[in-house]
Amino acid sequence: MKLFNKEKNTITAPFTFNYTELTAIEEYLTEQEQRGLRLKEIDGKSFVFEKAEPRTVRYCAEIYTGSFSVDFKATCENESWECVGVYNKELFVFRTENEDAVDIMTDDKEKMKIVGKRALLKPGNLFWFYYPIMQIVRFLMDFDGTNYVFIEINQSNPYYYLTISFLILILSFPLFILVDYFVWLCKAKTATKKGERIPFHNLKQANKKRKIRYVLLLILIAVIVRFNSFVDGGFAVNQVKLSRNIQFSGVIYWLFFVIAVSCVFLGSDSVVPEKIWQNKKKTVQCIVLSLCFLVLTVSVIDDNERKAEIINYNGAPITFKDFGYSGMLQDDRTTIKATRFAQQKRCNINLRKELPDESTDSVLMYEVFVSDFSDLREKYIEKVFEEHDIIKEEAEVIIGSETKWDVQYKVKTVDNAHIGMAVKDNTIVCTVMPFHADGYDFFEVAYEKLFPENE
Amino acid sequence: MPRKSLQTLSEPMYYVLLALTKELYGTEIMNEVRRISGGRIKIGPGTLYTMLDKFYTADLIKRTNKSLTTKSYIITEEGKRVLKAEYARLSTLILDGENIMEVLE
Repeated sequence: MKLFNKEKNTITAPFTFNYTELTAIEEYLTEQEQRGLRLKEIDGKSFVFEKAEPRTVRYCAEIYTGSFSVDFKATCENESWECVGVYNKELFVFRTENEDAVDIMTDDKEKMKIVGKRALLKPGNLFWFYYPIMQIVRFLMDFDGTNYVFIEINQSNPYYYLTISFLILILSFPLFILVDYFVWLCKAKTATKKGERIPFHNLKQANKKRKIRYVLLLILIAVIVRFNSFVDGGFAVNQVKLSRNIQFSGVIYWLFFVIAVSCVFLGSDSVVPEKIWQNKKKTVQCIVLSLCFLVLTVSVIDDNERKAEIINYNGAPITFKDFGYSGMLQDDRTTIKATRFAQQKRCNINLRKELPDESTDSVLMYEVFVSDFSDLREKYIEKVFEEHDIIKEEAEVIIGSETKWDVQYKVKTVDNAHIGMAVKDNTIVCTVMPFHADGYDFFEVAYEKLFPENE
Repeated sequence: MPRKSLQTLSEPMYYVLLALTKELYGTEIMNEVRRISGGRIKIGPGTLYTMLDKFYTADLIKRTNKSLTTKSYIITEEGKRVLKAEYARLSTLILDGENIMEVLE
């Protein structure tokens, strides 16, 4: 992709090469020279070409990371190598018309060491490792399904089977970079041992690899946008419909957060163009801005009063309105959590207006928990009992045939609240009610709503 | 650690240190290395300055201002010690092999 600047009569092309493609850079510049485009300078992350009569020249791209760059350039110029531009302060591009000019790097072993060290740390490379590593960490953390954002894990839902595919997809781009790098490194070491020239990728190979990188990058971006849950920043296939603002702010959040982390760990010029981040003050500003965005976005997505529709595996939504409670607020106060292993919806309703007596304890809670994993379901049940200081063995247990549910737990607490829990297959419904009325009918209504085809 | 990595010198390194027993700048160092080695060792500017960085970090050389416009380099006392040690090592190699080489001939 080239951009033509009419005023300056120059053409700008992005610098899309890796450091293992030094030969490709030289071939590319030589090709442009033969087309009448001479490299004028390297501006940030771009080549800037000017129109000129084709000449027979040699280009040389070398990496120098030492402290004597001025002396280095001056000495090269004495040896008839004109320094045309510098990329990222370490990749120098020289040009000479002298066919007999001495090579700039004559020690291949040393050159391999330098390139090997810098190639992986090329600006932006580590950027693409950060996201997958973070997602894998979250993937592992997500196993405790009660504490993270949930997804629908219905086994007939195709997203269930995409979990592993998802991981493979987001890892493919950084893995390609890594594999490509280590394969080159092995070949380079073998070549230097044999006394042969280092096999830098030529232009044809570089173009091919660039196409593969672009395809994998597009896949990675598509997967991030489509599948990433921005609710609580969790790694989950998001079946909960959220407002576009939340999703958009989530994207911004990740973008700025990653930039901040890259700046902190890799330096300010690791991700953004050199001209923008020229001093530490701006780096600090970038980090502060990212942190502000992080706080802002987390506070937005942590809004418990947002409208959300959760589709359970029977496709029927379940709210308190279904139980015929009149006069309640239009909006459910709900908390929805999901991971790839379980989903949970909790409603906390303030029924002060509806109380038949003058009880001050007016919060009515019900919760639906769905998980295909029995250990998660067990853990959830234990957690509910623990939360209410109940010993499980003291709960009234009604099994199977006496109820449509597989099992029901019923507990009356000291302050007259009724805690009920009903389990059917992979679904658990739990209620905490401050008053007696409808304390047990609730489960009949809940069953009809959750399992309508079983009527 | 830089010093440990320079306990033994490669051939180009040895010749560059030899050359820097005089105060020289970049191109002069390359020419002097070529001269001392009888044209056998040719060092490019990139290789040269990579070496100079290592030597400088290990205090084997120091920068000087030979003229107002050019930065030059010269060996330090530590550099001389390392050079002498390398010379002694190479001499030992030759001495150790002398008798055997005579027999081979």
